[in-house]
Amino acid sequence: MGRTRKAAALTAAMSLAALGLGACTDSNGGGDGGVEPVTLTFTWWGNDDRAGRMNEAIARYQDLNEHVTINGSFTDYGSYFEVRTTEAAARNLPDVMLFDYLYISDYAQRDLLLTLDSLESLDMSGVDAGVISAGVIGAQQVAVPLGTNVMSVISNPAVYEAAGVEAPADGVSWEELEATWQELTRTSDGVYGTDNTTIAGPTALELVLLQNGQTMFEPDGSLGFDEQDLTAFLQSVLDAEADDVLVPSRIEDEISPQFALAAGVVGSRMGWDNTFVQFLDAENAPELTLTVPPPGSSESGLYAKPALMLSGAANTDHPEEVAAFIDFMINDAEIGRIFGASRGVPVTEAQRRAMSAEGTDAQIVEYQERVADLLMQTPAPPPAGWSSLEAHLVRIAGEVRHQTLSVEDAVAQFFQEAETLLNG
Amino acid sequence: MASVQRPVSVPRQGIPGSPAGAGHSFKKPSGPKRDNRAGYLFLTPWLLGLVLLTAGPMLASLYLAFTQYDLFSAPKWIGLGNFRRMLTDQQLHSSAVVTAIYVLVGTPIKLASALAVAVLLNARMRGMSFYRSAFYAPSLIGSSVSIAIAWRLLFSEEGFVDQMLSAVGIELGGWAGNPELAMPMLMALAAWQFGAPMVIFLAGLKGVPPELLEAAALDGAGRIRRFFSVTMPMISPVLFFNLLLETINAFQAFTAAYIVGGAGGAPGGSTLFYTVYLYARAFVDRQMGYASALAWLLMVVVGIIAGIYFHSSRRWVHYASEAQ
Repeated sequence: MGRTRKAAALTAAMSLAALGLGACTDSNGGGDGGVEPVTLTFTWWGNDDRAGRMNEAIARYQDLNEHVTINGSFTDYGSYFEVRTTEAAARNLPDVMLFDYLYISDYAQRDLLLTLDSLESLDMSGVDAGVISAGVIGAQQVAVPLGTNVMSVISNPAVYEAAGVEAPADGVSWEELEATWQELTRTSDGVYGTDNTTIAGPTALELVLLQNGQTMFEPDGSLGFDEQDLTAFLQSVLDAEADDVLVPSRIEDEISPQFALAAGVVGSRMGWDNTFVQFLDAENAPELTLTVPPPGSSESGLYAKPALMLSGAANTDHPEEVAAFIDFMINDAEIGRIFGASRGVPVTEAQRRAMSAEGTDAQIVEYQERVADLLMQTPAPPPAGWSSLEAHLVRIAGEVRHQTLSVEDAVAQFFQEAETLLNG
Repeated sequence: MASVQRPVSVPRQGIPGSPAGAGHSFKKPSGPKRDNRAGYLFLTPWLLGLVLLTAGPMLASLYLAFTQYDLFSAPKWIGLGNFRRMLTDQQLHSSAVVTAIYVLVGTPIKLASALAVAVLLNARMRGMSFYRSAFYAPSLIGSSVSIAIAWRLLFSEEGFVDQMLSAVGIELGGWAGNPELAMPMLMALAAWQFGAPMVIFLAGLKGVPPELLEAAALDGAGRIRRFFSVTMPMISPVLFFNLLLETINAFQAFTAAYIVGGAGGAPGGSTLFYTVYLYARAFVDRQMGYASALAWLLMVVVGIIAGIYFHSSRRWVHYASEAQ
């Protein structure tokens, strides 16, 4: 007796950690006659608003499927994939995960994601063909888009009104838009035209490239731009800063992680159209408008991107249960009502119809109808390694803006990193 | 734990190294061997921790330092590849500079404030134990995430520090977004958490024999002279201990820098501490092999510096027993 107790005590500490990291077969599910209770772990990133919607969806799923318990948890986007990385190393990923287009190649190429094609509980027939293919890597469906979004200019009309400057509208040219932002900066105190992401972020670089008829990545997964392109891009960032188009990086870093747009520090920000829901968390949330980004010399540069995706873990013990939950998230009409357009415009007709036709949801749907004719084909998912390389792009742009790194050194550093990260 | 409930006889022998046993030749314990076993049993939790949580991972990281390992696929042996890469790694060099500045400037500031406060708290005054607790308090919550966030707000534009400085005509704006001020802000945070070295200094100050100070005073030494010629040499072992510990701590500083600047060391790379850079390589870039090599480089550098400290200590650290 004493011996077994001792052994139990010794192993207790070790098993504690393992338990916490998520063995997922305990029996809280409430047995309903013969069906094995199942517990699934589910993670997502986002704010409290999204958490509220997710919890509502989970509660509904558990009501409909009494043998299933879903343990949901969430973090902010910044740390979300850092945590997933360590879980992936231990082959201990959550059963169901919210996934980003940026990372699916990284995970799928290492066989970390559940192949969804053959699972009976998942019906993807209602999803638009062009959209569902975005979750296919190497001929296997590893992710299901929950919604789509399109790049947009998100503006805060109140800021423009206070400064007596006309807010951006559809159909303006780049020159006009920059002149508007410059005027906003120069005529108001403590308010600036636009933010870092708009001019210096990875999406800004992609838009510039697409508008010039180039792509971010070649079909073989190599970069679609060279040293010269990146030099020109970083130089344009410095020009925008010198021309008062852009909020000074000191101020933006200072208020981070708050967004300059949410803080009322800038008039506009370019971003995916569904992201403007996240600014509604802010106190005294501003009324925001969505307008079409100016076209480039040859292309609009706009495309429908899978906004959020759901994936299962290859290491799950319950693939069919995972598939059933993903099926519910894309096909159940009530989910369309719960989420609205906060995760992009829903991918199935049933959910689109169930959405409320007012407020921000209606704004996003209406915007996507307005740009529908301008959309290009959705580019292939970023290659494995890009998610890390993108972090370097953000970093060097930040250092260039703070003038702690020259454009020349920044470009050299970026392509040196690209060498290891994309080919590693 | 169940093992604790087992009745264990208390060893009758003095523990070697304890005051009672010191100086005597070591005698084999006459008690039953069970006592030894009980001792090892009590050691087990610590031993398990050491093997599983410290030694094991360290050995693993030593191996990984010679590999290319992206966490997802098996590590690939690349010999000295990671170490050769360090030679041309611009980011590594700038992060080493950031950390060196933090260690060279931040540590003396922290130790000086700890010593200064310890001297004040060594005075005889009513309510002194309250003050001692009050000054120690920041160190209890010191390395937490919440305090780093609060600190950041304290130094923000129109924040407490900005308003105080504006009142005397110094306009610096927010510190966290300014590459020149983010580092001083972090040093101030470290200096504010001087509790641990302060308590140790205080203990050292209490050990300075009053008769030495009195004798010096009789010989005409002023307060400052007495401090530098009597007190400082007397507390030099404590100073050495604190210097060593705080230097090592400074090399390992991470939390506050990560909260302020993220994995990219914003603003402008000014908070890209060596540890933050190591973390970014491991968990953002998923270059666990290179990150392991970086960790071992840090360990070797800290080891060398500790060695230099110990070597130099022969010249400036005075132990009371040697003086007699």
